[in-house]
Amino acid sequence: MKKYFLLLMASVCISVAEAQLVKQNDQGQKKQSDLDWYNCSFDKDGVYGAEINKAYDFLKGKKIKKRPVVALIGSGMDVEHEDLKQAIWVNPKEKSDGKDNDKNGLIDDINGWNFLGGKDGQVMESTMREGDREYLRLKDKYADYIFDGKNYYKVINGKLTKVAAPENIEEYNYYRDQVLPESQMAGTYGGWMLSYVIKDYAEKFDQMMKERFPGKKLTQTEFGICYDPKAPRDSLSEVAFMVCVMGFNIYKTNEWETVYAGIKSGTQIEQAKADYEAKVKRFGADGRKEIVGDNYLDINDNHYGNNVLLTADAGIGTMEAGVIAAKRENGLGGNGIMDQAEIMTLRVAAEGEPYLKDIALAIRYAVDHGADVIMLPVQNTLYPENQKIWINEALKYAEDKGVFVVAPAWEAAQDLSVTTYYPNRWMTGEKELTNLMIVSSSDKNGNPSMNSNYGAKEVDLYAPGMNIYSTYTGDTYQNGTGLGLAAATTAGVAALIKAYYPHLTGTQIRNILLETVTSRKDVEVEKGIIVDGKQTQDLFLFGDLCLSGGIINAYQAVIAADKITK
Amino acid sequence: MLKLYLISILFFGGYWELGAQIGVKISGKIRVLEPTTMKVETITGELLLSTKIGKDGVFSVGPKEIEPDVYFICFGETKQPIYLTNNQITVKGFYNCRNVESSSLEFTGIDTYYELLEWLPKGEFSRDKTINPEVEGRLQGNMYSALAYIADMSTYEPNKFLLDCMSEEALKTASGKWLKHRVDSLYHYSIGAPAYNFTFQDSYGKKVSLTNFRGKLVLIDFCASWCGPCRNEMKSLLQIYNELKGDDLEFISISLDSKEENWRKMLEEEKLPWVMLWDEEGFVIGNKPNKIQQAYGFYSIPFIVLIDKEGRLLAKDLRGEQVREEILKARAN
Repeated sequence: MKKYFLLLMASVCISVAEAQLVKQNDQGQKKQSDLDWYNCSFDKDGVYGAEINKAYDFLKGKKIKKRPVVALIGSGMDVEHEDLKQAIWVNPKEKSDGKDNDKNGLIDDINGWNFLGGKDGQVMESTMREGDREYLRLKDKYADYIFDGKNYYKVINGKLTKVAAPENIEEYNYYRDQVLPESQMAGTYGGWMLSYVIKDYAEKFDQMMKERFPGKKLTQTEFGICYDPKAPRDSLSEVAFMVCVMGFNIYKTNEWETVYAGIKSGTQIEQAKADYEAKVKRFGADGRKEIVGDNYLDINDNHYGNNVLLTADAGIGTMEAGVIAAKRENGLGGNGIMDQAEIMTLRVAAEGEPYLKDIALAIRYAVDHGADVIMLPVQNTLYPENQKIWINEALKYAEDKGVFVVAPAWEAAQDLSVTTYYPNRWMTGEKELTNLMIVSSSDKNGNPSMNSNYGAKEVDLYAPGMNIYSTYTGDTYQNGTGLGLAAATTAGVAALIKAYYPHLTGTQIRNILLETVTSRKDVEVEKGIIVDGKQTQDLFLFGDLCLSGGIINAYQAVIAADKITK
Repeated sequence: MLKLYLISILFFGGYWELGAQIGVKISGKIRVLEPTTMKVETITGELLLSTKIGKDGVFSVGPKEIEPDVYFICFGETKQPIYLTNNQITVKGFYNCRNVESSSLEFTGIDTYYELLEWLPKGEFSRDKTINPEVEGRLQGNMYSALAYIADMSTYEPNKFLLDCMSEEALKTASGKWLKHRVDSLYHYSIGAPAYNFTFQDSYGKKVSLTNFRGKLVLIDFCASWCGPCRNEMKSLLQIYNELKGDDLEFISISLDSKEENWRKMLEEEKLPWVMLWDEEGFVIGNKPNKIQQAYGFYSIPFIVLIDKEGRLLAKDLRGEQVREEILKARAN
């Protein structure tokens, strides 16, 4: 993901207003429509909630048929939270005794699993970005190639040398087109190599001028002859020429000798190298090898992790779980959508971008341990082909077993029909996945989150996810905004349907949810978009932002579910 | 009979417990990522209470009798000033040692602190923070100095204002002493700084600025017609003026009347022989003082300052004989 600096925060943090140690809880006087407003409805409370309260009015007198299991594949969890502890999934076949009682390869996986954990109880608090992982995987093969649009070069002994094209040209193109823009390490490494190219060209330019103007003092005027108007745009010679022109400005001189001396001395090369090394230091390691110790490129190396669920990021998972399953009407916090649900915590996400292997294994774990609903981490732009297969397979497995899956869209104001994010329904290359929903977040007024990604086909629906009051780590409660909360609302509604109509499959639930939204199709809304790489705003018809053209509606959904099952 | 007996036992038991627990007691169960410590320190760094918190997050310290005041409550490496009284305090929440920002600790039994927080200035930078003058009389004892401590305001006036709200007794507490010292040092700090250049109209409608008087000592008296103490102060000023007047000295009274006619009426009544100006913005009560109040930093009038020949602030918040003393001192230098 390119815009990650800012947006990383959106993925891992549900942003919380205050950042003080001692916090004042002043929510006592507020109405539900200001707090856990996803329960509300527009006709009764004036906010575009998911109409959960109305759904319960409809369900009055009906019995819950099953306690649905909701797997949260994402952050850690406070499983002891006073308002949640009744809704924590417990692995029926596992005991807390240091042994793998249920023979699933994982020891003491009582309430779920932390895939970012080590045997000694340590946990990873950050993960590298996918682009950086791919850079490290491929750098020995491809990072040294310099391509001028026609030929391939490498810097050998400080000299730009023409070399044969890479053997696996397809993989090289993947590195150049997809990995390079997503990795600052790759970018600065390229810059470092380019600094050799510039030095090389400067030497050529110097020779050219000295041959053409023997004995003459060389200035910017003479330098003009070095420009080759026939060279293709963005060729290496053009880049080198432009850099030298900048050199005249930087050194504030008209004399070529000054510019040339600067370039020849190699300080640029040193600087570029230092720049690269700084990026490696910052982005080049996340301690997976030391803490977890698995090979993340081997899906069969799957006995790793630990059962520590209370992690630094647990607040995020706890808030999401609260929306789904906090105890209703007990005077504590807000009301969860389906408080008979059982939350299974599968931690794969820390600060950074999760590993696809962890996500794939977590999906399989969830399906194998009876999950009815799975919530995935936020979508991402880069899914390396060899790892994407694992996710494809796992999602198909979930589809076959009738599991409903939801993932939040990213907050980058992008049109998903232009920029592809994963997971998506088409990612397998075979028939569309029918159980996977992509959701974006909406507010009390029924407006889309300004920066949510959108897509007339690619986003299924919008769901309440902004300024929501929910459970937070340590028996506390907070207001938060985050794309995960919109997905949690969706997962909660799916769980509600599943609890009363357990025979409905994930595919059927998705269809019901799509058809029963509170339609906002023809409403004109303000929406952030990206034009020429810059963020701006435009008016949109809600119907063009997502497939269903509306906001999730549990009341209409249970009525529809009731009809189908009759 | 039996019932009554039980009640009296309970009553006695309750009383006993109260008697044993005079002092602050802090206990709770929180979530921690790793074992940590909880400490209470005075603002001078003296350790009062300390306890380890294990993985289970359960802890309890005290009771210990303390002077109600602002103290540092510390979890691990993180400190926060908070007002403590001899009260039972319970804590719940999450202390995230790896990312303190995402911690959420909730306290019960610190109502006094919350009461004080109501008055906390909203400004982002410490030099922009001001105190709502309505706070006067609403807090007790050293809560004013505690407020000043927590508010962390880098300008003299709001600190001085809070100091003036306090009793002699309250000034003997740790935060009281701190505020006294803070105000003294801020006073000396602001002295010598260039004074804000105003432009107001005189009784003929002519615009007059402070810079018009460069080369002279300028005594500025901020006043208003409705302000009794101001009118009294003018009488004292008149005496001093008559005694000390000279080419090197100018007196200016700036009225913060909101109505011009009231100001003009005062001019008629007082007939003062010096420069009389009117700031039509008027005196503002509330937490948003007007421009001149902010520039010179005052919440109440009369407010009198002395400016030196180069336009720098020489002394401020002068009353009565202090005016004479400061002028004489300035002339002597």
